[in-house]
Amino acid sequence: MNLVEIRNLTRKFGRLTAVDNVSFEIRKEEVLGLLGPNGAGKSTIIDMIVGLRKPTSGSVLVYGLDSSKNGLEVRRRVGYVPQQAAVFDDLTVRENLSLAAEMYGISSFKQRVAEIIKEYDLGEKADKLTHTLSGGQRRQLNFALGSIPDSQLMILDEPTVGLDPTRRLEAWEFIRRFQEKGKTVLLTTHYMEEADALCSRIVLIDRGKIVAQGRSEELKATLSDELLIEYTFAEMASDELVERLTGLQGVLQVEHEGLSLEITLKRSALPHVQQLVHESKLLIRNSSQKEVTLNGVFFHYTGRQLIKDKEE
Amino acid sequence: MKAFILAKYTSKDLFRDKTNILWIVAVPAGLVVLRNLAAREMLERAFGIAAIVLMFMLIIGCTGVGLAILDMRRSGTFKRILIMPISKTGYFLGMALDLFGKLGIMVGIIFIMMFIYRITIPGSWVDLLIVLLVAVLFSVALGLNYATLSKSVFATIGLGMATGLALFNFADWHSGGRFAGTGLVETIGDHNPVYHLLRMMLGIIFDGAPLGHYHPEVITIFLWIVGLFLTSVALYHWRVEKML
Repeated sequence: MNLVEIRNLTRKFGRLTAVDNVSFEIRKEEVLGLLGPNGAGKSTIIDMIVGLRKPTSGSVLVYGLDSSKNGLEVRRRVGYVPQQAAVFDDLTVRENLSLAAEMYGISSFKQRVAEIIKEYDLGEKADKLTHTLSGGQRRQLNFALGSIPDSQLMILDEPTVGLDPTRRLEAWEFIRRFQEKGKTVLLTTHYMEEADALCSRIVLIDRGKIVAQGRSEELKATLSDELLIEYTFAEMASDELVERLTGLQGVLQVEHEGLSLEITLKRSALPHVQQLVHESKLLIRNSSQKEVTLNGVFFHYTGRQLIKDKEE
Repeated sequence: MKAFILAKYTSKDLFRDKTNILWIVAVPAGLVVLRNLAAREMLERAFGIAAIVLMFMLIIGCTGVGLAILDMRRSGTFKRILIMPISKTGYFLGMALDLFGKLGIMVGIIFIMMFIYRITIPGSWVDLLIVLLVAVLFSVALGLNYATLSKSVFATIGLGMATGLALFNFADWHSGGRFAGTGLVETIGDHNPVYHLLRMMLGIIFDGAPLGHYHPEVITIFLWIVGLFLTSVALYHWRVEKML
């Protein structure tokens, strides 16, 4: 059963087409990842799903309701966790949660707020102003606010962006908790690792267009003849070597950073790459061969890279 | 209903922050006391002047409305609220109610002080209260226009200064000039709501004129308020997607 059905969705801002003829669906109890770089159109799609923006053309059905006409009803039935911890700093944790609970029309809102405070372990800070919370606690509150309506459909708009690795793992735990409860999750992200770890299906999006969609393994399998080799040398590889590698037939991408060299290539090009590296006489400290990642899939379809995880 | 819920929570900060209380009480009280001591004026006169100055402050305070919404947009709470089941109009009304409440409290304090000092004025207290509340309504309507148009802090302040300059440019203060004759300046003045609000206030406080005496001016101000609210609602609906 599909909770959300998006058909030929297009949204233009003047001459810019932010979302271009996008179609996909979100199935009940799955975690769907909308994976793409900044500016790909992910947030615009979310805004149209919840009826905050009208599509230029196409349709979005949420629980069978057209969200451009029934935005209010759709929003009543959707939990939302935004990118930044958007909370009212002059209100306490309890007041922030109560505001949300009352807005969702929860009759026994005090009880619901108490449950959420317990679930998200915010008891100690419940009556403190939110500007006194640590970054992690604000993040907890952000997820807690999204959980208030106890909706079947949760929309998480890049909830881990800018977090350090520890905090990111904490956020992943919250997302897994939604999964365990049988919620349906739409997760937008530009972290391939995140999409790989959490999502049952992935929609790759770039410049407003869907470039591929499917399960992570399926997407990678489409590029089964591709490999990723990573070398770590004792000294920096020369620009000349990088240039020669880039020019080899079957080499798709060469990433040079510090002492390491990351090469995405067709399997057929492997002997030629190894030959060139050997000829360079560079001392190899470490080398590893990996199957293609989602980043490679994205590069295959768009010719561009997603933001690399290690850069963040 | 949702608008009331929103206003209930967004106005909580008013009494929570002690500096807010200080400013709300200190400004009107200080004005009255200083005027009274320095000029040795009658207390009635001091209160009258305080009430008039308060109206100026309300108009200037409109920029605060723009800045408050700008702050909500930047912190993401604007989108957080809109993504809850509240209509765009509901959100807008909630903000208007919140502002009306906050500004209304300042007016209330002036009246409480008048009651404590047992001040008498020639005109009716009820008439004065109505005029001050209309002034608050006018400033809320103006502030909501700032809020929908503001893109940055400086743009908001600029808007406040520009409209403030226009609104405090009274016909009585001009004698006309090379480029505009007195007739034109007076015609513009005839349509300036702040000018009329002040005239009504001064009339009630010093001359005891009843509100009914200002019947045509009341209509002018009423039209202004309705016009400003409609403009702000239209602007808001037009710009809300850009504000996300």
